[in-house]
Amino acid sequence: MQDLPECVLERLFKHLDVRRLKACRLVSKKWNKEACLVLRKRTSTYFVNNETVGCRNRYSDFKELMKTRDPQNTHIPVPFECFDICLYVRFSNLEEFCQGVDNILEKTRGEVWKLKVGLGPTKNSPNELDLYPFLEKHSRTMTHFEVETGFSCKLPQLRVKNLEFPSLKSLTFGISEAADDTIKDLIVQSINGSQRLNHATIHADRRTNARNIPGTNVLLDLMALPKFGTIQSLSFDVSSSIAMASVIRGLKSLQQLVALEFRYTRNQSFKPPDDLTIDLLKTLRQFSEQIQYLDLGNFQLNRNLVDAYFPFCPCLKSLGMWEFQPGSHYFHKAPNLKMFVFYQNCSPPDIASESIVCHEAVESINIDETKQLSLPDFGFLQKQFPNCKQLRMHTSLANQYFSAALKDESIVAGWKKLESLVLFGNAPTDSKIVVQLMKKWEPDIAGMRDSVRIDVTNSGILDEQRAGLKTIVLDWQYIDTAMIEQLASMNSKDIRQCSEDIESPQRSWCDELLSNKIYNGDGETLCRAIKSLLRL
Amino acid sequence: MPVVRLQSVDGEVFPVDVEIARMSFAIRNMLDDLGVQDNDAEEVIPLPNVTGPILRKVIEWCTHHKDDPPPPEEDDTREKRTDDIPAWDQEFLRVDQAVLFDIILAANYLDIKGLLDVTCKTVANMIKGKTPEEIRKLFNIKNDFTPAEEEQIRKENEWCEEK
Repeated sequence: MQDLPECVLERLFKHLDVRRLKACRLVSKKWNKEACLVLRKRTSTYFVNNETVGCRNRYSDFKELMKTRDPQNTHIPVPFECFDICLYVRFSNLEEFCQGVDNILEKTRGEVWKLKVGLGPTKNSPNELDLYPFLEKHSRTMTHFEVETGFSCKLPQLRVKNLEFPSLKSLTFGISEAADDTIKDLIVQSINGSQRLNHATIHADRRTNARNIPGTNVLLDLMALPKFGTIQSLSFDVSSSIAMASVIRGLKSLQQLVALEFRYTRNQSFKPPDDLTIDLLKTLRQFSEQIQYLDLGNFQLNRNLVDAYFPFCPCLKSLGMWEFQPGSHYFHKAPNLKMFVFYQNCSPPDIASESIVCHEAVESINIDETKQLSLPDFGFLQKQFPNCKQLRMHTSLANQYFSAALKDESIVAGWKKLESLVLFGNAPTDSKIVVQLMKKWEPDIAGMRDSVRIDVTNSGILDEQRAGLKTIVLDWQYIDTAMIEQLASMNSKDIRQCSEDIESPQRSWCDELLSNKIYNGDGETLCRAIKSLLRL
Repeated sequence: MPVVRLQSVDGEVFPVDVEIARMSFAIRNMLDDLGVQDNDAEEVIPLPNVTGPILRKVIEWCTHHKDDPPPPEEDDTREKRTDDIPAWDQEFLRVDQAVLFDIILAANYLDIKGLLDVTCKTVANMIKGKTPEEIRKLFNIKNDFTPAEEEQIRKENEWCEEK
């Protein structure tokens, strides 16, 4: 095979991820040039003035970089011009860091695209702290701006005025009880100074006493800005009834929303009082014609109220609810729903299986955090969403699913169109059950071989953003002999693909696995060998 | 169904339904520029960069995919998936690397997006998991870097992170 022309290389590289593109840069000068064109759009250089262990690209790395530049400035190993900067005002190195960043930016003709400012308690005297020159210099190129107000303490005074954010697409800010006019001014300027802002994430009342009022007033003032009303996608992290009530009040003035996300601190749930639930659902009615994405996250809404007040949403494509209640009426009000996410099943279902109406449009089900689903629960899910193609669930739940499937043929037959099963989380999957099921499913597995890929990977390494891939993910830490034998019995093409997503340094361990260099029937040896290959 | 005649560089002439030929944006533009009418069945379009055997393969692919919906819009900030090659295409592209390469060049020259896409996916899958040295071997590429240049790229890669 001969080398490919440039225009084809560029198309080819669009199919490779960042890690592989980096390898392609080393092939030849021509490949390097084309790979850089694609990498440029997907990568940035990250600088932070934090020295905390575990923090990527720590401040010491940054200082090292500043030292290693040569007089001609031709060898700064910063390849592209897109920068992702994180400033914590609490560190005394702030000024030095900002100067260093500006130096490198000047030399590489770089631009700050993402900026996060952490406004925690500062050791600097408040009078000395002046972020304005840095903000003024970079606000015009920023596509993402995040202001973290952190803990409830007196915030440093900032001098900010007349900033413009013409490139800003996404804004994240936290309104805590410490929120004051300084923070408000900064947010107001970033909203009013923007031209294409289409997403905002708001941490409302985070880490604060729910009785605090000033913070929620700041939030209401911000949401009442005419320009705020043009933002199409909003995510709220709401952690108290008061914060929720003020967010609902703020929502009433909005008209153009197409995506709305309501969250409570991850892994927990929050039960709002009934009057708030009704108020929320009634408020949703205002943009029910436009809304495409709605995630009410882990709010334990009263399900009878949801059934009664859920508005008709003809454009709704994705819905996240606290619980799945078989036969819920609100699904009829979302006739074009493609994806359903839930956190908890409602058990026991007090409804006859026969009376459940199918929602044929739903193709994707995501079961988040749920601890238990019984065999009948799976039956109800399958009855209500018979056309599910993508199922994503926690590994602990997978054990129950697989056990249920082993006990009951109808579970296996239930989702005939299933082509993707993604298991996530850190709980071990009982691979013996998976193996039994693979054997039991032999015809289906065989039929699935073309489309299903098996990743044996630590879920910590796995990028959850790839959940849409046709993938079965198992946790390699718990991989045992039986599982390996089953994998090894599948054809080598599958195995080779399965090795692809592992952050393996050079060689795919599966090749070695298949040639029996590592695997000798001892699961522990294998685990050690994989770890050493992955350099973990 | 109206027909156009496509002529390969080695003189072979293929009568093809206009609708199928128009899947190639290059041919579509030629037909539009020439103002070819539906009844100009004798019009011959010369394709100086494509050989007969490759043109036959390309027409076979287009014929099979003539009813495909238009491809979705591209998002350059993420890699495109490569695990969704339809079974028919996988079988169709089970050919020598040289032939695969010629099909890519033809798809590129004729501007047939779907075919270029699926062939690029196939090559992307061949590249995955390979070291730079193995990739060079696969494509017969000479390493034109000095060790210092290679070292510089390695350093650069360390400072280059996914957005």
